[in-house]
Amino acid sequence: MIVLHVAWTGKSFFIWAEQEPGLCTQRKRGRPPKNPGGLPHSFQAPVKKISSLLSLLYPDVNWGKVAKEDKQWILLPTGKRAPLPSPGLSAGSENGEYKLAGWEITGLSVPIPAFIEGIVACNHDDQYGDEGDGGDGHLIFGDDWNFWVLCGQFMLRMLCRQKFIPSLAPGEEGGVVAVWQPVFEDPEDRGILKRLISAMPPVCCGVIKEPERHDGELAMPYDVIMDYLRVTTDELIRTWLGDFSQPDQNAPVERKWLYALRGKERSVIAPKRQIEGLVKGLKEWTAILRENRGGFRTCLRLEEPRDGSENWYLSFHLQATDDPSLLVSARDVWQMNGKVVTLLNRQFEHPQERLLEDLGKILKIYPPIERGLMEPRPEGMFLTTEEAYFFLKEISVLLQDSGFGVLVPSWWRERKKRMPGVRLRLCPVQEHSGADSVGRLGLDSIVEFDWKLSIGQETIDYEEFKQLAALKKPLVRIRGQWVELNPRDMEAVMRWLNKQKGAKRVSLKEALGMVMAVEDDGPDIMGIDSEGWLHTFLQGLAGSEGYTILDTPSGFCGKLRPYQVRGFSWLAFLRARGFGACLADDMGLGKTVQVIAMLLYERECLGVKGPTLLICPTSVVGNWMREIARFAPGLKTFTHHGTDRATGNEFVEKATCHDLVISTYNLVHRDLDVLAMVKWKGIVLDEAQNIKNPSTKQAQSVRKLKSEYRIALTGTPIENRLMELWSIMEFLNPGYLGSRESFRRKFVIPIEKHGDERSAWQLKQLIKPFILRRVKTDPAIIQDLPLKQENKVYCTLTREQATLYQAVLEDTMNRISTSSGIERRGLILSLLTKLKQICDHPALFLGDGSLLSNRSGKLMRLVEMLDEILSEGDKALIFTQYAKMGRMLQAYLQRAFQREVLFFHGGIRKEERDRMIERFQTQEGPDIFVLSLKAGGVGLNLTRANHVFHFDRWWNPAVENQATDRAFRIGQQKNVQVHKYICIGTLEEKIDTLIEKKRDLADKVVGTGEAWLTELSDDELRTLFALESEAVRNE
Amino acid sequence: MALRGRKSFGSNWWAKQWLEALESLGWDGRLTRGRSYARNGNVLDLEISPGKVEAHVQGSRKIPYKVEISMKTLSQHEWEQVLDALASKAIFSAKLLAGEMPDNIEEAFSLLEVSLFPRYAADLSARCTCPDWANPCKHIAAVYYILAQEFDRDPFLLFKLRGMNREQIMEAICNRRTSAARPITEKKYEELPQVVESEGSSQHDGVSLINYWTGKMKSMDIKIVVEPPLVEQSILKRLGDPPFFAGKMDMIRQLEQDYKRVLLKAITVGYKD
Repeated sequence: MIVLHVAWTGKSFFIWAEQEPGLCTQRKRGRPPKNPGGLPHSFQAPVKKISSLLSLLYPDVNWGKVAKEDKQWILLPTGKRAPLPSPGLSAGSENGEYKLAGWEITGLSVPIPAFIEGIVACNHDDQYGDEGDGGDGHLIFGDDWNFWVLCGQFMLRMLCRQKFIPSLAPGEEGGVVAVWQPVFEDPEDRGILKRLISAMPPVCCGVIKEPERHDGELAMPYDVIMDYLRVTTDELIRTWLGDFSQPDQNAPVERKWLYALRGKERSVIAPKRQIEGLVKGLKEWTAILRENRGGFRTCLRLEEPRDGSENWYLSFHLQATDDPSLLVSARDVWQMNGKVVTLLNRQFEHPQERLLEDLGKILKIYPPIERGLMEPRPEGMFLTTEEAYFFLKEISVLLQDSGFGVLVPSWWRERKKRMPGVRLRLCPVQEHSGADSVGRLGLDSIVEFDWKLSIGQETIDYEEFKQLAALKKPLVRIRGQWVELNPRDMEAVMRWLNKQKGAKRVSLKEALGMVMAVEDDGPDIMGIDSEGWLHTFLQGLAGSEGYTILDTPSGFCGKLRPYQVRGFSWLAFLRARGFGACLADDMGLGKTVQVIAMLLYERECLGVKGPTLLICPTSVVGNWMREIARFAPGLKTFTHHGTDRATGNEFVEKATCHDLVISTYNLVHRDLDVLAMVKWKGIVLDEAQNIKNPSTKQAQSVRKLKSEYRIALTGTPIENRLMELWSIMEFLNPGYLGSRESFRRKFVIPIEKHGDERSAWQLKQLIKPFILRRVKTDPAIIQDLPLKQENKVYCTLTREQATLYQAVLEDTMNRISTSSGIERRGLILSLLTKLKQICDHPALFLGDGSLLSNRSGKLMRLVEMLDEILSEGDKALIFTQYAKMGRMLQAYLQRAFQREVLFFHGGIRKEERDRMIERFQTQEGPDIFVLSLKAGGVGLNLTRANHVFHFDRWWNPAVENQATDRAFRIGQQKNVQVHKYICIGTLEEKIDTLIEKKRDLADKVVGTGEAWLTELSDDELRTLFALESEAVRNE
Repeated sequence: MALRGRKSFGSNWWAKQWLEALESLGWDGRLTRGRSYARNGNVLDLEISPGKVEAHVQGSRKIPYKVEISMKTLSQHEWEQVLDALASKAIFSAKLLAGEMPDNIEEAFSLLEVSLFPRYAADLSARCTCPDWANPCKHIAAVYYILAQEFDRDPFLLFKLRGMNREQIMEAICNRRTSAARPITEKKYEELPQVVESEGSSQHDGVSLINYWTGKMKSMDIKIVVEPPLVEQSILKRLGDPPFFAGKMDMIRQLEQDYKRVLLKAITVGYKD
């Protein structure tokens, strides 16, 4: 594992990297030094390695030429002898005390333009390299890297918006130099700057000259960032402007300054007086940018005519800068008699003068305002529609840019939605009657389409459109609303329309594809109109009344909540039409049962015969089996995994006589040939984010399988991850979103990189019909959800766990059978503990402190669920009865998610405990809190959590509930989900079943610990503890 | 004094007016001698007070010459009229405060038989410590030119010379304006809590090990959009003409080009695929 870092040195960027600390560094002999540090970093990656990594990641740059080997001293958290590894490394992250010390690091120095143009500009958020290129867990970018890339983007933003001015600054060796300076007048820019300062990782402030003192001090984030912004602005601009030849010695100082603003030579050399004059002149010239004019400014407000006239009114106001809704009209200002006036809790200094001065400045930008200033106490003026349009279009922006407030009618901001354009009209072609023979052609259904002219959401017939274009007025009131009309654009739309060949019949896919195919210079497509089932479909969730709400199938054992009934009815509706569907409900809303209901429905009511294939992660196979057994025992299911799984024709036969076959993502590629031999009714992907990278083998394989319908389940909001969205849609409805490249070009880049709203809206329209997503906080759902939802998460064991389990069981049972009395009791209880520990994690039992990944089914499932929870911004509590497990969980999760995880156990003092709780309860504090079950006593308020995990069970409901109630308080409105982890086929499941059956047992017997177990006979024990075959997942 | 080379001195109309007024007093030829002096920066300093201008000019001798110019201030009654005129339309105050002399101000004044500018030779008197007999000598003439420049920069200085400074004028206008309006109860001046705009000097204390490396990067979602400006070169447009340069137009043109080039390059880099 390599962690890539970059530091800002004040002049350039310094790239360095950590690699896994070898064993040799940890086993040094002798007493550790009193002040560690002041030496070369012990596990830095060699420069050659860094260089080759960079060439791989950013091949457009000639790194050999551009980067130079260099050394820097950086303050790093330090242990006894060596720097502490950062969170990404395996040895990383005991989150304890540390000291800062300076270490000498060898890396690559990269000049500013190369970093910005070569790295920042090429930064890919989706590291979708081919498998195994180093994008797979062998290389990660440190957060300092991510931070500086973000700053680089900020730099590009500033330069793109031309927020800079030429200026002078004192040179390093006396004299003056010409510099380009960034200008932070825009409140949005200042907001970004503030957030950057706030998010900055402290390591970025750790570059030091040399280890003068071992407990060095970090620089202030503000200073570092401002230094970076100043230096980079100047460096980039002068590099981009290129060199000019120098003017001669006798040129006026201003010309010398102009030339010193580009290329390498910065100094301005001239007699002192001339320089002073230049300084004074520049200061005067840029004075308006420096003004900080207190808490208010002048604001112009444009109001549309109220009556049917064409008289617009532009009024003058003073506006509070921190609250744009606070306006004081000019009329009131003229009555303010005094130098300092307090109004609405704000101070206004010299309000009249200020208003006048601003009006005078506005006069320079917008001369027509002179009309309104002809009286001693002006309040505003009238504008014609043409003048109002000009004001809206050109002046309002200039005024805002200059720091004045501008208030315009709200519809102006929305005017893009009211522009002239076209609407697509789709009519489903008449189909044969009969419920089921209704075309299942999905996107291949034939529709009749037609283009209609429109303004905003209204269609307009050709004649009226033509008349409006002929009016040649920029702003026209149509049906009571003001609309911006551009006659040229309108004529272009009409021309475009005439080129189309009129109403046609095409497949639905082609028709919808036309929305995407219209070129950038084509007309805006304002919407799609349709009728009947097509209308319902296109409306997506909004038109949920359009499809039939079905009855719960009789084979379903249990009760579906109302929203779940709607959910599976929607699935059935799409299925009937042949559309691929994506169910994207939040975790805990029951995607599983909705799918199960649909599977039952199709068999019961549609008479479907033939198998459906369900593909899911290995960690949830057990869970599916349990849920099906519980809710749809009549559904014939088998799982296809394990070394003894069916192959070839045997498999095909077996599949054909079952309703549901469950297999895993891991196998879908390996067994593709066998799977492809079956005629699947449907394919369901659970946790569809597993194919988020469309070029992985498993993503390709699922796409190759054929079936009559397809469903994808995911818990994450895929609208935010566009490539993932494409991959899933490509599975569900192949070809619908176009090729990967065209999708990237048309949507990913405009939306993710440039925040293009129009593309985002278009995409939303395109995918809306296929995705159903409900969240826990939905008002329509919230009443259907119990405040506290408890569910069991069924996990499997790894082979290692199973082997250990079996061995320990055998061994101890033998000893138990030959013992009696107290010894026997002791053995039973110790066996219980050992088996529980094994179910948690082998390392807990073996005490070998070794790496944790891939050795425990519970842990893998936990990580998957936490990933989803974190991506939704939720917080979670994790309870375990073993403090050691808690500690291992903390370390592992910290590394897995690279963020802080809190751990509370008996040994924590009160003040520290209180601090942990306080931090957890704040929005920005840590999101995961591991707690030792015993220590989770009274007085802990952890209500910020909406998920509670019981990693292992205490089997005493009172104890468990008390722990759960840390997060759940009676009367709170938030939904809390409780997840109880149970390993299938082990004592955990069996004891749980036992307790469920005999609830009174729980209170009476188990309450006093697990002593009741010692009363059981040998045979009963064996049955209880035996390991069933389904407990293991093996590949 | 920093000098601005222009095609003609006093590019704004009132500064031009000033010079024309002087020229109309019959000093044509003599004034030209002062122009080059002014251009070369020989006027070292200059101070304007009601009725008087004092300046130092570097001549051929080592010690600079002292120049004093006196001009009659307007009488109280005349000022009342001037202020009434100024208060009659908001545009006058607006322009003045924004650094411009309103166009039609001379019109307003001519109705009152008051002029901001000297009309007769007797309105002005000047003295210089140089041995030159001519009046105006080139030193005095240089000061006249620099005065034009100063009036250019700040029209209130012309008013100051005629007897009232900016604060006095604005207050007088304000009083006129408000006394005509409905009086409003004077609001009390309250001590408001200071809102300190801290530019985020966050301290590094109590930082856990993980947070040393990650800061808040994992919990904060910072989205930065790179987009071209709505109005190009808007800063340049707002700054307006720089206050110096022979070849001022070249400078503006050059800077405009620079801004355009930077924009183009930034877009190319920012929109790279």
